[in-house]
Amino acid sequence: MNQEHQQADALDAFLDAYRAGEPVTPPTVEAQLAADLVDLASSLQLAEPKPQPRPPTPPPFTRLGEKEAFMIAKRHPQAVSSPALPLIAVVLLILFLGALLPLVNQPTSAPPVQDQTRLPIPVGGRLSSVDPTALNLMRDAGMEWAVFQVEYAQTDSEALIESTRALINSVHQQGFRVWITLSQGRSTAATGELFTPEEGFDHYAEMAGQIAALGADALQVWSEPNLSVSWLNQHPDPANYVELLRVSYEAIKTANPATLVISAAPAPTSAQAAFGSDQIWNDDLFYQAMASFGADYADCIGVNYLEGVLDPQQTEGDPRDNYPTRYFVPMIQRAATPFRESGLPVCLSEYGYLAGEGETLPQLFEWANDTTVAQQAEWLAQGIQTAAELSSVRVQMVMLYRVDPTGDIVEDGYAIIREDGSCPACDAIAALKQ
Amino acid sequence: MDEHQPDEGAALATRANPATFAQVYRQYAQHIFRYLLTKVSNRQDAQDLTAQTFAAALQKFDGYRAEGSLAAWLTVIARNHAVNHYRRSRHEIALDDEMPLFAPATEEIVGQRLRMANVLAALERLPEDRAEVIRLRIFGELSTAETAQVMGKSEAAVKMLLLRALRDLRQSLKLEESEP
Repeated sequence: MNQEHQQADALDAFLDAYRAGEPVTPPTVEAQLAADLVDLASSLQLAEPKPQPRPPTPPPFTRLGEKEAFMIAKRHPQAVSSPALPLIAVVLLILFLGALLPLVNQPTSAPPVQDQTRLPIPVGGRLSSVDPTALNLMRDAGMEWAVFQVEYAQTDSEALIESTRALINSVHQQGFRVWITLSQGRSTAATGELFTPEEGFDHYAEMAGQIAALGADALQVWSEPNLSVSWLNQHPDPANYVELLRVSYEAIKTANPATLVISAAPAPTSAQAAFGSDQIWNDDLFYQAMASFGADYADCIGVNYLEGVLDPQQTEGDPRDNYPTRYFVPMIQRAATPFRESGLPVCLSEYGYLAGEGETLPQLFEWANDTTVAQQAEWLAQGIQTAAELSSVRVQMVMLYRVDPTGDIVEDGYAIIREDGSCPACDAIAALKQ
Repeated sequence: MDEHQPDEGAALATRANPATFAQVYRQYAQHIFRYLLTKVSNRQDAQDLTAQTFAAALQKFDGYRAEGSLAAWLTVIARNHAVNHYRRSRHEIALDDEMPLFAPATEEIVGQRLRMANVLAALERLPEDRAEVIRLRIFGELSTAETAQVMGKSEAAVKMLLLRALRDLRQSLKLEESEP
């Protein structure tokens, strides 16, 4: 190796050491210049984006008119109904429909849970298939709900309904209640069609109503509505989302009043200022906007918590930063606060801890490398207990993000059933049974 | 196969969106900004391009499969945005005295040894690959391996290029200082 190569290697090693803060002396004038440039670079700071304390107000409900009319219509439908019908005709119509609907939409239902001991709060988890082994582990742990994500499709609706019918019946036969998250599908995205109040909401609501009629015990309307990627890359708009929730709620309750309607959980994020509200809304601002636009078209407010590296009692000390979404209770409070007035409870729709133990997680998920499976189990159980005992917020249900392994390293890191078939979290949760 | 089984690649990308994007931004935004600043020599443009870079990264996340370095992947996106920026605006280096590039405090801190405006001007006089290796390795805080990935060179070539680039920059800065 000639002298210049040696100098190049020495410079490279010096640069890495200097940047790492090691006490090194520059071996050459080039290394001294490199050190000066590193110092200079570190003094250059990207300005913190200005916070947006109030969400920009998008034009709400352009299709329906003013928000006030919208709210009046919700609470007093007769006040905005078109031609006034004679009172007796309305009464007869209501009585007729009331008698007819149960006959038309006879939903299947889950058998009552046999176990006399119960968890302190209803718990379930998301599965990739109706796997009796996984369901047995869940049952032994005291869980009552099975969660499935169904991709909404603007086309091929019949196939979607038929496959969902089979799914719901199968889960009910296993003695579990069914939670369906009807989310944006990739097949929908591939069509390039718009998904807007004018172009798709009524169809989505129709699908949601049909799934409710099949006996879904809970239906979550959409997912991560604060991201443009959830809207075929159109701007995320809380007013639009509330409109989707409204038409879906009405369709679901008409088809099956027993089906719980859960609002979509915004993705926890602080990236709005960086990306702009045409790409991302911060989850707290999205919740606030939902509440201001009348998001009480739900039985429960969906909340996700998936980024914890500390036990659920902690409210500070996260090694990454102290952003509230890092912590379990602050995350729940952040979501629930805007709905305090309406009294809506919170449903944890995706709750999980990524456990990197024994695996090398992809770079994006390295923050979970040190979380062990034992910690995952312990923290999940603690979180369930904590949610049940929260006095500031009423938490109605807790759904675990991933029950069964799927072969994907990240998804499996969240899964409570590990690759060897064991389920330490099931044991920890079972210990909560009262 | 169950009809409801998700595509796992998509699942990874989906998980990446909520759980990590703010974290990705916090981790890499300063590096990308500093790299872009040395590309476009204008603070506001660098800030705008940084935002555009991360917005584009979010859109392209399906294309990132954690096979290479995330920092290098983001830097390539940033570089493409900087190139497009030049194409669109035929941008001229704007070191306007009336609109200082940096806050006075920053200039005071580093003014004893190096002034950023001088460095930017000196970088402009270097051959492009030598200027680029300094931008990537020092201002973008990429490792040698990541710099090699972005530049399409071997790590040994990057090390040698950096040494020679710093020699040239030193000479260029001396010229800068000697000019009135």
